[in-house]
Amino acid sequence: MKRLLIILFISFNGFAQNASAQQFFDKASIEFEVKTNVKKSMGNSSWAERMKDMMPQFKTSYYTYTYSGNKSIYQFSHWEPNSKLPPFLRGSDETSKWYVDHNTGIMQMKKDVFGTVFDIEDSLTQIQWKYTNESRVIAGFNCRKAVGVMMDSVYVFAFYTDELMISGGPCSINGLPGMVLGLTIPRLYASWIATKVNVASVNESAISPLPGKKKYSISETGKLIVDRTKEWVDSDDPSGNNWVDQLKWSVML
Amino acid sequence: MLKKFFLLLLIAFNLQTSFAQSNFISGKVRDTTEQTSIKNAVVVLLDAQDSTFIDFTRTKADGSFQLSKAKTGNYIFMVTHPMFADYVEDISYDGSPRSMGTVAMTPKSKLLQEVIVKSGSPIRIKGDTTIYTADSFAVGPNANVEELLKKLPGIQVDKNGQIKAMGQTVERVLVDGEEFFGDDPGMAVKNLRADAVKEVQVFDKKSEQAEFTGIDDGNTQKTINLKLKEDKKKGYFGKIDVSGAPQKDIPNRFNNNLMLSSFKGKRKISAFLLNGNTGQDGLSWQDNEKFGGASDNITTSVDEETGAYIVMQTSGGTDGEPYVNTRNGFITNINAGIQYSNKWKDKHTLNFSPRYNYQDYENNVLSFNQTSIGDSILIENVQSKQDVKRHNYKNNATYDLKIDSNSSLRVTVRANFYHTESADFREGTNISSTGVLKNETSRSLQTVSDKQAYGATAIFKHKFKKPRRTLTFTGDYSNIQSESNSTLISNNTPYFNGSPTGIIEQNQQRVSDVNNTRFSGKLMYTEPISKRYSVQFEHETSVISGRNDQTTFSFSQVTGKYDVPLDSLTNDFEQLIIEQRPGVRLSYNTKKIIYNFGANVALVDFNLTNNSLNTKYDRNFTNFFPAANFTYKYKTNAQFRLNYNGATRQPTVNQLQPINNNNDYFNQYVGNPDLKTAFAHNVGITHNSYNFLKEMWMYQSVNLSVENNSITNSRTIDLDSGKTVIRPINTDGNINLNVWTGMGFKWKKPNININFQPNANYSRFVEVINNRRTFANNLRTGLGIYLQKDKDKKYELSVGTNFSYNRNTTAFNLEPVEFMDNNLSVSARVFYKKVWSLQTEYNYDWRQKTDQFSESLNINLWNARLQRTFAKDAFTAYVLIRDILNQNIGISRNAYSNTLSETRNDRLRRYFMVGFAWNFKNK
Repeated sequence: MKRLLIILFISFNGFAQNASAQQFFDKASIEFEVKTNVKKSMGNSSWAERMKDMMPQFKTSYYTYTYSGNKSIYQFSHWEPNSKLPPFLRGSDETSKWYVDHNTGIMQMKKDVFGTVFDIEDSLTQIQWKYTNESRVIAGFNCRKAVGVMMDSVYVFAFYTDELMISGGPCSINGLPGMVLGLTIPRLYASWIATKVNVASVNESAISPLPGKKKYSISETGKLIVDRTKEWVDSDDPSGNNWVDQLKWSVML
Repeated sequence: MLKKFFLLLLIAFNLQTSFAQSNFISGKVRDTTEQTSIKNAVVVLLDAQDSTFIDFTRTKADGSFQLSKAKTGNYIFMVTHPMFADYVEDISYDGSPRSMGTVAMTPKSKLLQEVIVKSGSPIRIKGDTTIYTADSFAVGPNANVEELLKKLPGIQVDKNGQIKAMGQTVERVLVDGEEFFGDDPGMAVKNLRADAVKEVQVFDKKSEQAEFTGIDDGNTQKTINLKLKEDKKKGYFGKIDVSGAPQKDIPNRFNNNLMLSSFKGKRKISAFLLNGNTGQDGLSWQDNEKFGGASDNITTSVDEETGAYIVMQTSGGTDGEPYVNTRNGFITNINAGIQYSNKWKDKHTLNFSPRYNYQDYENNVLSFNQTSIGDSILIENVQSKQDVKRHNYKNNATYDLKIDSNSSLRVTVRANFYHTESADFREGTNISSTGVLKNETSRSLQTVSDKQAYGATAIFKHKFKKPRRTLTFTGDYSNIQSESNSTLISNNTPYFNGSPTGIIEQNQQRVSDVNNTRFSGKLMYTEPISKRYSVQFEHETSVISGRNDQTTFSFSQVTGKYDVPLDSLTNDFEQLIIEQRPGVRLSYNTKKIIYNFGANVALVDFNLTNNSLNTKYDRNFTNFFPAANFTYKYKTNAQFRLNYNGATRQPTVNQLQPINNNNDYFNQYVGNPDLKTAFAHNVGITHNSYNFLKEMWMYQSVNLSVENNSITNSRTIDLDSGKTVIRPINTDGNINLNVWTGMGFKWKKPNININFQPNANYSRFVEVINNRRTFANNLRTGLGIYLQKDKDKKYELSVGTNFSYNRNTTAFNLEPVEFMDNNLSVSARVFYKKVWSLQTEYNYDWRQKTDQFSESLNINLWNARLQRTFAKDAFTAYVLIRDILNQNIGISRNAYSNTLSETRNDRLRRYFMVGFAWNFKNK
């Protein structure tokens, strides 16, 4: 919130007098700060323990979500300045992209898994949302909190604002009556928070479907991940299975 | 325009779920004060029971809305708008079209005026996390956390178990920052003992975000974090594996492993004891990770340029001890060790690991050596027996200190002690191809030696504020002292034209005292010069000083003692080598391209003093070490590398002026003080790639090395007696070319992993025998194929074959030497009802019969093991048979220049064992 560049609330009192004034935005460009607790996400194998000593606690990256009307694109923008991350933690962020068309209910994703790029196309991810009676201000927008469950068992905590009119959010998060500006997924040790919202000059040309030769569905991708990694971990080892789950969810997200 | 947009939105949602269109709830939203329609307000229908979103929409320009996903039931109907207070109403829906009429909204501004601050905009609570130290609040001995919380001021727990902190309901309880999943915060507080808790932290929004425990959902709820005491995180685990059985005609076989590890907080103590006579010498890799404290030998570092992690595993230093391949011969051994590690305040880490090792080793070796010199062929047959008893006691301690986030210090100290008693008996003959005897030798060498090795290393690393600017200092000290006493009794008979020309008898005792010390200090500094370029400077100074004192006495028949000094075999050497080694390297680094180049120069001041002969040997060497690397990463998991390095190779002390050694009378080594330095160039190209989706990997590598002035052994062979004198000289023209490739993929349908590994090696080197200089050419090509198929907990199958072809040509051989060999291995394991498993391995070694090796040596080695596990794999009972066909023997065949050699080692043959293993742990 410190980094809020664009002040959106021109005059709160002015609006109070005339409630039908422009208060809703059908296009915007939003910068998210994405923090992942890499030490926790690595598990505690002896290899991971050695790596942790030399790693920062967090991986902090910045993504841009751009939408216009009912279409959006979400992609990596830059790393936190001076971040020291090994290449194996950087690749997937720099490559991944999400394109969502809420009109058709179709989304496309580009995901890097150990150097192999998956092109994914599927209908919007179904998330079962519960409303909670809480709110907080994110990037100058009053947001309401909802708790969702996706991919059967992954809890997500989201703050959405009804002032940004798209039913979207970072990654494939969708299905709330407004835009998600804050998100936490405990099982992926990750959180997303909007740091800038730009409604003035939106680069709409960036919002275009993703090219790709062979398109996988989300469930197919999940199955492929499990299949390709099953020989990497011992099926009796809970931390190994946990690692596979985390990988699968982060690719399907 | 907006209308169209919302229609589309509605259609999109309806398409997804296609509910019947007759069920709908409609209405209009209006501003109560202005009496105007409200556009874009969010109208939501929530499940009355759990607040799940059922449907939502936005109002049109005229304030109207329609929701169509509701079925019969109870709902919460809610209308929200940033300018207005939320409108909430519980409704009961009967499934028929229903109108909510006009929904009246009150502007927030009005609310604020009237109600002051009651609801609406969130209230921010400032202030730090409240922390309670658990021990300060007395609770009963077996109290749970709930009882503890009741005692804390500002926290109340009501009859229903609901917790309130500062008047607000606590909805989440974390344990060490981890969420106890489930909606009930009572879970953690009821199930945890109060005395396990160190602190109770009550978070407010801000400090929670600052803490960021990994579960931050930006919650404005009150959250309690229970921080556990370190010593309550404790436990133990271990493994006992005992096996053995009485055998017929051979010594009884046994192998026992005991391992135990316990941890309490960050403190870990492990111990292991291994004892057996089946060749196991040391912990397996997995067990070493758990019980051995492998971290001693592993150092991890970050490459400042690429951000890549470098993991280095050092062998831990052998202190010059010989390597014993325990697969050959017969060994009875004890391995025992303790490992202690602890960490304090995340700053100090200590590791201490004493180890003891005892080996009683016996081996019988038959070796055959054929040397061709033109039309003369010397055939050496040696039969030897080794008997070695070794005791090692090694101590290693590592202390790590994180001075601050940018500086760290690691100090390693080691003290190792060795005691060895060995006896070596050999009998050998050397004959010509026509069977004419050249020489005969018989020898007994008995040695008792003691060795102490001490060492210390300190590494200090500092990262500066400016990224990529670093400073590293490494200081190293090592000292090895050894004393040995050996007795040599040998009879050597040279022949001339098949008749003995006398006998050389040796009966000598040698006392040797060696003491070597090395000090070194190295400073390395890295400076970024632009975003992509950086430069690294380093300088190392090292001093090696040592003394090698060897005194030899002959046995006197008169006194019956070893008291006749032998001057030719008595030496007292001192060496002092001082080296200054500056270096510089320039690096360029981008995501796809990385390259660096630079060089080190070593200025060596070499002083050798022979105290016995009062001679001095002083030399100065300037050695040059250029290096360049280029890497092109064209994909995340695919890269191409080109590297070059050059190195000056300086003659070793032993090559210049060796310590006289007459242990093998017919093969003697003499020094060459006129040796010059050699220079080697190495060029390597590698490519590797991996595809996750296709499960395919491959690599190709080509290495070429060329050495100028190469230090080569020149042999002078007396064709009559077979006596060989070896002397190092400088030669030109050595080349080695090596090609390694590999490829692995999955054959989808039958789900088989397939690996191919073709390889080839060509070398040409200068060969000097009896002052005749020629080239020896060696070509070796091979192909490995490996197939593997697994089904988890059902079966594991693998088949592998490794073929190689050798061809040697040299002017000393009249015709090329060619031979082939192949190794086939099959391994299978089947599970039955998850608890039974039968495992078998079969190995077939095939070696071609040739003119030189008249016997084709084919060995079948077959092992099997049947096991059953009990109590969820905690217990395992097994029977195993090794070498069912009773054919095991250790053979290696080698062709090198004009010599062919074959060595046969005794190995453990057929035996069977019954065993029982127990894996245990607490909790």
